[in-house]
Amino acid sequence: MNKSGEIAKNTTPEIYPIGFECGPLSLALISQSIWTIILEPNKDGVFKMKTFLFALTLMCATSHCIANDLESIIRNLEGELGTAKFEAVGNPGFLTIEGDKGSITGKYSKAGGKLTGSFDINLNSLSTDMELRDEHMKTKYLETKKYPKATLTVENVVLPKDGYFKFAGKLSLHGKTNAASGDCLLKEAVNFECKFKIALTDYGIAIPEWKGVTVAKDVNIVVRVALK
Amino acid sequence: MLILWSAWLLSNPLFSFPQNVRFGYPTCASCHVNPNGGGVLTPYGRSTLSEAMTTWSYNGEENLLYGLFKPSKRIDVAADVRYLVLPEQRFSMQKEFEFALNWSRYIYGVASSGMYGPLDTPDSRRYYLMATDQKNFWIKAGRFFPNYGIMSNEHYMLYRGRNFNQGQETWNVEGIYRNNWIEISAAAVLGHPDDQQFGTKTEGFTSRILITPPKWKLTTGISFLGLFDELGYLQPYPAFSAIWAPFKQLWFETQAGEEDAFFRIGVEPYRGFSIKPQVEHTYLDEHPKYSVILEWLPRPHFDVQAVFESERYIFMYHFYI
Repeated sequence: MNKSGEIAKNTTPEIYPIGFECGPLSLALISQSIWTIILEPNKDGVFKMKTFLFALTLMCATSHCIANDLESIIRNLEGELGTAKFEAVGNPGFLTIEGDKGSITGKYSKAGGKLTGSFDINLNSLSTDMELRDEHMKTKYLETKKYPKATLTVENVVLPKDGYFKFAGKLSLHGKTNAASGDCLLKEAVNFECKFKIALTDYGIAIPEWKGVTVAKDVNIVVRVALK
Repeated sequence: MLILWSAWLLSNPLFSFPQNVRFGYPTCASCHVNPNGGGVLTPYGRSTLSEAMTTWSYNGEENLLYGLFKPSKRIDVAADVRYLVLPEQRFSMQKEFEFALNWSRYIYGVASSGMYGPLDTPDSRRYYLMATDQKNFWIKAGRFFPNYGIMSNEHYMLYRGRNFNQGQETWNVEGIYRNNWIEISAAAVLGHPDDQQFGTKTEGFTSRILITPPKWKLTTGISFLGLFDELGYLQPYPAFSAIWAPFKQLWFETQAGEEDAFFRIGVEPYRGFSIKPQVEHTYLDEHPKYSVILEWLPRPHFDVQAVFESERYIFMYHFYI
């Protein structure tokens, strides 16, 4: 991998965008165990129905993982460094709103054990898994037509060999720039997972509200990149 | 047997979806006026139904009367008709109207009225006053089901046999506290409208503690129902419950008490269509009972359920405005 700051191409992050390993075999075994424990085949007709339902359950349990893995491979070939996601809370009900698939590209250098770089998050690629909510997020609040990306810049962040460390930098979002700091976890010297919190109002973003449910102004951001 | 079957399959007017924890909703308060779930939907709840739960919908279809009326800030309205088809007979099991008036969404007055069962028995099963800060606190007083276990729309015998059957809504005063991680609720059960007529005494209390770790798509906890018997002794019914959705298309529900247990798997291979095999064993059963529920929400305002057990089937059609 190039350490002089050129955009890394054809990277294959060894991290999983969904946050945990998703092994089809392990899921199949879990599904089969649950089925065996709960239901006992005792009649031909019933057994056939149960077998069909078992296969359906297995297919559904694994399809999500396979789709995610395929998607990450395709994105990796396009030169992405990683993905960003956000977590917000809405009330009433403390509902959790998660947006992910925010693709990250950028430039960086790692010299003398310090990281300097500029990382662009494509806000148009963010998804909360609900079409109307995504539309509101991008048109009414983030205004992605005017501000299509958020940029996180860091300068001379001291890197450990592996493990947790703090970072400080700047985040440009919705036309405003503010200091951003948080915690990072470094694995195998290349895989970074960094978390920090922002206040929407600091970036001129109106507090999202829809039909009586209001989002809290503080939003957690998680950035996962592989920087070799 | 027919009565038991009807009782089991009568989709409770609560009609809530606790499995919506898979969408990031650990409690019912975002979508329902009643923070326990069921009953009249908030405008946000109607929108979520359309956006996340039905197979198809057009913009605004989820609103009152297919979008004929826009959402109101002051009043939420629901009207439900449920029609049951059994091998031996068919009848409308519920024709109900419910409305919720509010003052700035902090004070509510809720009331329902309807006709139930094959004899169209009139009743007003839910009416209460409620105050809330729309974030952490709710307090309700009136007639409703207090919090206990999973308030699921398919009410299995485990739940029905413990004073939560059709028409068993009691007079209660209930308080709920909730934050990002936990919900604690307690209710004083003060009687049932039929107590005087039948010489019964439905008094006691319920309490429930739920843990809802953010991002885990998990709601789990312990409930306690205590009812005083005729001799004045408290009969306790503790229960453990959990709903976990590791994926949006797959979830697990379970509830277990001293004499009862229930386990269900939910699979949604296509949006709006779910398959739910389950096993249930209550104090009323000699053997565990296995069944499969197929549920389809094709569009807002209508859904259909089919339940298959080893020897019988039931269909239920639900229309709502």
